[in-house]
Amino acid sequence: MHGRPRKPAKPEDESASAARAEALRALQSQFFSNHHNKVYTDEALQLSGRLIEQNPEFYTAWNYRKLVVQQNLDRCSESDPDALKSIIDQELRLVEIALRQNFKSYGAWHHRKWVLSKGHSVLDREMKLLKQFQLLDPRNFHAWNYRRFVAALLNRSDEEELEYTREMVENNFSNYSAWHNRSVLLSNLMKKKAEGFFPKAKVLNNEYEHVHDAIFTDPDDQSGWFYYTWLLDQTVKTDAPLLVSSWPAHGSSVILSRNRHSSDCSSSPFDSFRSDSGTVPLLIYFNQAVEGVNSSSITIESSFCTKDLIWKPVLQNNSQLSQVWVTHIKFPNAKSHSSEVYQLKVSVGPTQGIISASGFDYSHPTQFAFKVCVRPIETEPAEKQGEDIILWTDENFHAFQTQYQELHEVVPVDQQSVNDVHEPTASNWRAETIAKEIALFRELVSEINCKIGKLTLARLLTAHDVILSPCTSKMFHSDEVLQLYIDLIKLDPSHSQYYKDEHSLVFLQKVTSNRESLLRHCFSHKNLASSSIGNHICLRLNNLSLSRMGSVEKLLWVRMLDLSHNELHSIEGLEAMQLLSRLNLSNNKLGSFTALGPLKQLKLLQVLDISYNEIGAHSIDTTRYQCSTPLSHTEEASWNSEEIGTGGAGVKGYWEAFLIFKSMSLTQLVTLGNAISGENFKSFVVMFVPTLEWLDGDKLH
Amino acid sequence: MSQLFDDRVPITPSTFDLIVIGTGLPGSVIAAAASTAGKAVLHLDTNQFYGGHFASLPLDDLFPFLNSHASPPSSSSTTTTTTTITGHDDYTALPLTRRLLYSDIETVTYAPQALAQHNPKRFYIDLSGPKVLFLADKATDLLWRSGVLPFLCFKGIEMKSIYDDIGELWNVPDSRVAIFKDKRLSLMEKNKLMRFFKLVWQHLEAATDEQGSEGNSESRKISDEDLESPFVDFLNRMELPHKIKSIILYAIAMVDYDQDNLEACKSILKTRDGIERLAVFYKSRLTNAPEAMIYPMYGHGNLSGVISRRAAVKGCVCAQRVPVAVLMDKDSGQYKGVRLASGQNLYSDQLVMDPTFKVPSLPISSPPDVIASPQVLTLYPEQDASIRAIQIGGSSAEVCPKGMFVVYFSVLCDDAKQGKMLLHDAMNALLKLALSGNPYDRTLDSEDAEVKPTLLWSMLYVQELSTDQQGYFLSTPMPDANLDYNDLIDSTAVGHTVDNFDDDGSDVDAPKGTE
Repeated sequence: MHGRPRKPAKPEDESASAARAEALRALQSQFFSNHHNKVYTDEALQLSGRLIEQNPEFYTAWNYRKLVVQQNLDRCSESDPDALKSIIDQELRLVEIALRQNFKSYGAWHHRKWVLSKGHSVLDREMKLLKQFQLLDPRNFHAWNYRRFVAALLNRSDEEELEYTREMVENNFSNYSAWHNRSVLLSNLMKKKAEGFFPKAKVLNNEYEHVHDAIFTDPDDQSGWFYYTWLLDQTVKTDAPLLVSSWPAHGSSVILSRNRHSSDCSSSPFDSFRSDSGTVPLLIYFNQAVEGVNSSSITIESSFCTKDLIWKPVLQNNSQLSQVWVTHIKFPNAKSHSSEVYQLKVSVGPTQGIISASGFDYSHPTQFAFKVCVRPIETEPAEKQGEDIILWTDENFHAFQTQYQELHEVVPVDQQSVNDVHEPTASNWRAETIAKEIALFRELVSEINCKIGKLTLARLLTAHDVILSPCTSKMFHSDEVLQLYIDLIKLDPSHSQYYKDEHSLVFLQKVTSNRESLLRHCFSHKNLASSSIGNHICLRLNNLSLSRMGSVEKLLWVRMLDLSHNELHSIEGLEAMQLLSRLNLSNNKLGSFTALGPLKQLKLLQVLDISYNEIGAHSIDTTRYQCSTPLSHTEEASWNSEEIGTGGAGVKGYWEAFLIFKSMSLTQLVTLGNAISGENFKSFVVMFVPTLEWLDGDKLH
Repeated sequence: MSQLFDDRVPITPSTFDLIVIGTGLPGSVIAAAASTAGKAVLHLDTNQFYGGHFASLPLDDLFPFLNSHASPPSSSSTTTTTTTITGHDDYTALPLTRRLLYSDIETVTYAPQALAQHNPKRFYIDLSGPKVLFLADKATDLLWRSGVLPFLCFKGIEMKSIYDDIGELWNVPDSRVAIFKDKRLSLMEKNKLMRFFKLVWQHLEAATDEQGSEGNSESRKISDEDLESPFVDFLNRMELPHKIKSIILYAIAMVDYDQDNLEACKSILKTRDGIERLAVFYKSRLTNAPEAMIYPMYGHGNLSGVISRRAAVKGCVCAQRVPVAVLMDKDSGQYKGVRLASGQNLYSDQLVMDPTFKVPSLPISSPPDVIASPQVLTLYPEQDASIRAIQIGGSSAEVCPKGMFVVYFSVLCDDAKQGKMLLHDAMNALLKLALSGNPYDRTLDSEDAEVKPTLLWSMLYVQELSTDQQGYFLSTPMPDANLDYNDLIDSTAVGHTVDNFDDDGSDVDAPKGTE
């Protein structure tokens, strides 16, 4: 069934197939006429049967039969079991004939399920039939699907079915379907904690041994690796969601000022925050997407009323599942001339409610606390006035280290004491298992040049680091992992993009894993001291060949970010950096405005540089097919067609740009050097981004 | 059609293209091939059964047959032939002397009562020792092409084991599935063994591609230099661990002699030949049958019978129980034909003879050897020569009553005493394993699977291995020590005859024996 080359048709075959097509067409038109006229006679039924025998893929005929069968069944009284049986048997026979024609016929398999769901049939025969089909082709996934269906009807135990997958794998381990069914069954059994399938550690270790035989015997066969990936996932992932980080971080002090030109240099440059309205965002970041974050699942103790906060998922789509949640806390106005300090204590998950996508509760209630110092308003809010243009050139940046003494206070890395103890005993077996696997695959990779082996080793090493320190991700193995990905890029050029992405993620983990390495990327910008964002530090991750953004959970504090001169083709994840107000994405590989989607979530973003990307260079916007947030389905209906109508050709030509910029209040934008750039585009931007003060380096107004 | 020979009725015609004496496997194949090619063939046998030295005999016929072809100790049955020189023709009739192939026959009946419960006719013992067919080997191909396959039934060899240095039987990991299931190899050993197999398969595929004139296959092939080197050196260069090397050499390539000491080794296997042997295995597995090796039901003798009958169907004149003498031209000494005991002279251009007979001969000893396998294959790599054993269950292959098993052992030896000792050791070791409840339990003739196996009967003999040829008569090969028939078929020169088998009666020369 597999690996058989197709032979070119001979002329006599072609004429035979033309004759068959002719016959089929005649049959088909008769059939359609019956169908349209609702002719449900026995004769008409037979005709549809003949049609199906010749072309089992003709699903209209199957549907027609369903109508007829249903009607016949309804007519048949329950008291006449023989009649019922003959109706059912006739259908089952037809399906068998059809499957003999083409055992991968979706319509036929579906029809059989439908018939069986009517009851009245003997299921034992189904197992025999399946046996025949799986003898013919043990990987036929239709048969496997059907087997699951029948097994459920027969109430066959998962254990029995698991044993069956073992037999199939022993006969030939190149069988994705068998391995896959095994993973499904084991998941069920482990979830139920069925006898012999608990603890998880024992079950998984047996499975590792099983799949090792396949992988080591023939590393070129993918089916074993496919199962291995599932096993690894089972080992690494924690069921219950965990809180990973927050802003403000635990133990930090935030200075809230409302002055536009506060030049209070004594305050920590990382945690000062300016807001005209006196609100401070509170961001929490989980290790997996959760739902149910609200003012009862998260409580805040403070001296003022923080009830009924609205928590919003930070997401591009409309799902209620998100890793990042944000709310805005409004602080009381400070009394004049003196600062007021507020203590806030946040409890995450004191009551049930936060639930992961796979249905696990947040089961480790955690608390964190921070201070907010509200500065008095020293001057009346000045009349809004223009800002200087922000230039991202190197001479405007100074290394950050030299200027401040209290460095140990500032970078909010690994401060998160909140999650110190999660399942310390359970993670032991995880770490041990992964360590054993690492040793095995190091040996394999040292012997043979095996791409998937290297990739697996890289994943294992990364997983090991994560398990040993789930929150801080101390990277013991990062250099080895990075080297593996570099090897892979050379070894397997057709998948180099994936390896580059992985390399970027690991590299960012490494950079953010400790204070020193992160500080090396922190700079202060010349005209930031007088700027309005209340934070003087720019994180520069430029010129690093990054193709993906990651480790965002460690960077929630960042206001100004330089990602220029990388290879970014996506900025997914950036939406979590809610405090971001200045962003340089120039000289990357962003291919469309859709790729900028995450920016719509950044309500504070004012300065954006997207120059020298590839926006407009690709006529087909592949982002929309790749990312999980297809724009067309999720766009809020916040814009009306009138706007587009009055915008004329501008909007029609640049509607993707329109959708992005519409929800932002940018004051400075650089779009030069993209395929889309030009006077038309510029005038479009000027019209639809009214807040803009600087465009492409020119002062507007 | 085959006829029961009646002295009184002369055979007609009296002139043939070819006369074949002996219905051993090679003789039968030659007779069938030549007949198929449209030649007039006379096929004679002095025995009343088919197969000659390749026969499968019932227990009670076994000893008399062996004895009649045995050297000194049993001098009772000497061949009585008389030289007749009849004056009224120009020929000399040379009586055939029987070659004494067997010696040191040693029969022991351990449990006469148990044996007595069964009809000795229900046993079929292969004279040729442990043999099997591989699904992709030449013998199977020959059977297929000659059209006799539908008349034969086979039993797959279910298990193949190697006797390892700690005295246990170990399933031979000879395929992808077997490696996957193996419990004794480490993961890296599995990886290495499988990689070696892949290397060989790739080489074989590249070789096939080349025939299809697709270029670029050179890189996937094993270099000629490697192919000419000893197989064991090649395995060493592949950095295969000792354990894996043993498996490949002795259990898959079925090497006869210990290859580790190349200077002392009597027969060094070249990489080319080693790969060739692996290829048969590989191709046998490709047939998708659950087993690579098969055993003919009712014993190997059945093959000769079926092929002889095939010859008859194709017009060959067959006669059995016919004593014959060879006719030579009185003056020139040229071969002319044969004379039957009835006195009838039959003429032919060529004569092919069973090795049972000789006219004058120089024995040349050739290096075949020992074998074993079906349900069990054993091997003692620490000796010079490997011992092979085959166990056939009576219930499946109809070679003995149900619940019993026949086990064949063989080893190559120069010295009868040493050879017997080795075989005794092997027998004892297997029996001991069986008694100690090893999973490979069903070893010797046991009455019942649940009962510990007991040895009922055994027979040991030495078969001489020699080939000779003389001017006008070609002697067919005698059973060799290989597990398969490949060498035998090659030396029967069936290269030619096999082609004739394709049954279109095309005009091809009569088969010739190669050296």
